[in-house]
Amino acid sequence: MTEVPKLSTGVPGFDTLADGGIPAGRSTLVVGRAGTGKTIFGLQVAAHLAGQGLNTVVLAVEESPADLVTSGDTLSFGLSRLVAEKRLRISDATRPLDGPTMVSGEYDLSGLLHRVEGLVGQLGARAVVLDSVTALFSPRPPETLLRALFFQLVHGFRKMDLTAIMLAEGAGEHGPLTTLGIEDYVCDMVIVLRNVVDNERRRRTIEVNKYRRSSHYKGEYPCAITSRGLSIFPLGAREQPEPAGTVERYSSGFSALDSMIDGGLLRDSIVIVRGPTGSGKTILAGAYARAGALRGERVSYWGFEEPRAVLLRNFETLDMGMEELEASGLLKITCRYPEAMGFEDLLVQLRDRLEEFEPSLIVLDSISSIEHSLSEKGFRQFMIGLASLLREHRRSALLTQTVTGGHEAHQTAPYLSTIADAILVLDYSFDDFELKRTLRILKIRGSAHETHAARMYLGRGGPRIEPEAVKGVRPVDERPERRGSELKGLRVLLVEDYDGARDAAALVLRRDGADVVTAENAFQALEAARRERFDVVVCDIGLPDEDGYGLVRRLRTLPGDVARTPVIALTGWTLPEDEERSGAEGFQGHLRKPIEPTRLREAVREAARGRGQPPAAAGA
Amino acid sequence: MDADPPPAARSSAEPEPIELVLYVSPSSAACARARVALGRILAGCDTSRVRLDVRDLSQGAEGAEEDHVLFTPTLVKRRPRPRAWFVGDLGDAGVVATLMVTLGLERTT
Repeated sequence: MTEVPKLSTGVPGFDTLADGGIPAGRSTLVVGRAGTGKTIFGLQVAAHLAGQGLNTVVLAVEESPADLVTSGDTLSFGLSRLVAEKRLRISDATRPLDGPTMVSGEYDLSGLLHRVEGLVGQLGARAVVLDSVTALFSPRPPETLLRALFFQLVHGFRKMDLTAIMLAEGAGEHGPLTTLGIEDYVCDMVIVLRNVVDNERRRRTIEVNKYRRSSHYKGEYPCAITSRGLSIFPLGAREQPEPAGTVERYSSGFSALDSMIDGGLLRDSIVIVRGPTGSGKTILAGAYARAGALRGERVSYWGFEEPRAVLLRNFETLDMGMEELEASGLLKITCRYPEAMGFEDLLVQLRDRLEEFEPSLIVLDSISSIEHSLSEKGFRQFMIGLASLLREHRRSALLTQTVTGGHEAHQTAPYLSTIADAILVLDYSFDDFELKRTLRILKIRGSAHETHAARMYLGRGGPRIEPEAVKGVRPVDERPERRGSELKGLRVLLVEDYDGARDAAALVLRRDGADVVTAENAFQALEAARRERFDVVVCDIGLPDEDGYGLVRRLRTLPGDVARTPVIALTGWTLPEDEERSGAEGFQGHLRKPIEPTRLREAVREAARGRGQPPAAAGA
Repeated sequence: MDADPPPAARSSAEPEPIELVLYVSPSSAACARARVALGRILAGCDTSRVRLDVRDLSQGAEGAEEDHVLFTPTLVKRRPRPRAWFVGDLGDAGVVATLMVTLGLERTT
């Protein structure tokens, strides 16, 4: 295949898909329905080419030149400047509005081509953008004439050795690509822009539909329109940079952990810290960020679980203040609600931050919050896009992931393990009444590591890790029975999907004499409540089938005493508004994870005393 | 773009000239036909008020952007206002009739 000379477009991510850019001296057709960003793409490329010294003519058929300049300036393309510097010329090719136009007999496009010829001569132009072909041929001439005119146009541009970008109105999803239905046959490259609703979210994509004599990546790739124009995520298409020849390590922020991983984490690697709610992931992530900034690295911390003020307050409570580090310019903390934005927008923000702030360390807490706001496909695309960005910029990242409902390895997407260079697993258990947190290295690519778990303590100053292996901690169900009597005679229904938390809470309650029945989800809980009588229900809010609020509403509709059974929330949802909502939804108590045995015992005893009372907001 | 002259400048006794521009391309058969057709139309009328300018765009595209010319041949009636555009070789009798009415011309022969 003869190599096609190409021009870089300056549209982030596009040249990767197109294996270098658009064909030089040939015509490229950009197809899309209204609102897909065709004009933005055209102006963005025009500005880039002009900025690179390839003076460009824009033929404005749909909008006035003034409107196009305003659009381009709003998107920071610098069109006004380029026009003033005579590197870009926007020629008014709009249809006349001040009088009638009548058409009779034959005609051709020589008028427009002579105009372009004149502009090319004045400006020394090498490229032309036509916005749009559809407007130029409206009303649509007869089929034979239309074909002849379009051929004349493409041939005319080619004779002038112009790189042409022609925008055209897209037709439906099937059949001809454009409403005119002829343009794609004549052009060397065809790009399709789409703006579709997928899973109640609007999604923009771009596809290189055809590229004559050139390789390109096939299929649709996500894109976004940002304040700086169109931005494309080539996801898996992007070539991964060659791994560095030497292995550089950096401190995780914990000397004990560094010693467990042969001297530290590997540079340019992606670390996932995985664990249930309450296992200390955010605090570990905060300590990692602080340590990086304290040794002079630039760190970008993205929080998706709490508002910024709450996150900073939580760190402050543990003497892990972030304000000074932010003031020093080495740390930037950004909090976002992933539900409020598309994943493409989030990737754009991350890319902008990578390019502007140039952090060497990035923290995302947590990717599970993003996962919950997206479809499975959307999350997969986000993660692949994120990994591409991080690898392209050669950055080190720590991502936290919340696991629920059983053994972590069984319920996490396999591609996450492929993306991660290292996986650290946090967990907790109970040994008698003592809460034991553990940290284990599940994998670390390209490095030896300790296989035994280490103990992790949380307290003022942040996490403390002790690398000696956790020994002598038996699984909870093998521990000796040592019953107390404070909850003796009480029947408790415990609803919790995460094995570790369920076992721990059951152990605490049984030790105090309670008779505990466990359920892993709302369905099992309702079945148990219909079958047996309970004095108290202890219930997680985030359950796999239906949340705890829904479960309480259903309990309240069951016949008999069961509708008045007190329910205590045991949850990782710890914001003040979460606690308020629990009360409003009819919970008698709101306990935070991880479980504090004394509080759990007290809450159950207290709730049992008031059983039979009308719930606060039954069925609310 | 040409501005309309102020009303006071026009004499009520002297009707405004009819200003026509025919944009053509030398390589186009349609343009040649349009020139012939326009010549025939004007030959049968009182053309004392008509000022016709034929512009070969291959020699320069002056006025074409201002006159919104994309296709050739295009005949633009610039004055009197409002402007009017006739695209094509003027081979259609209906369009020619419209053109006559638009220009305010009457056949003398």
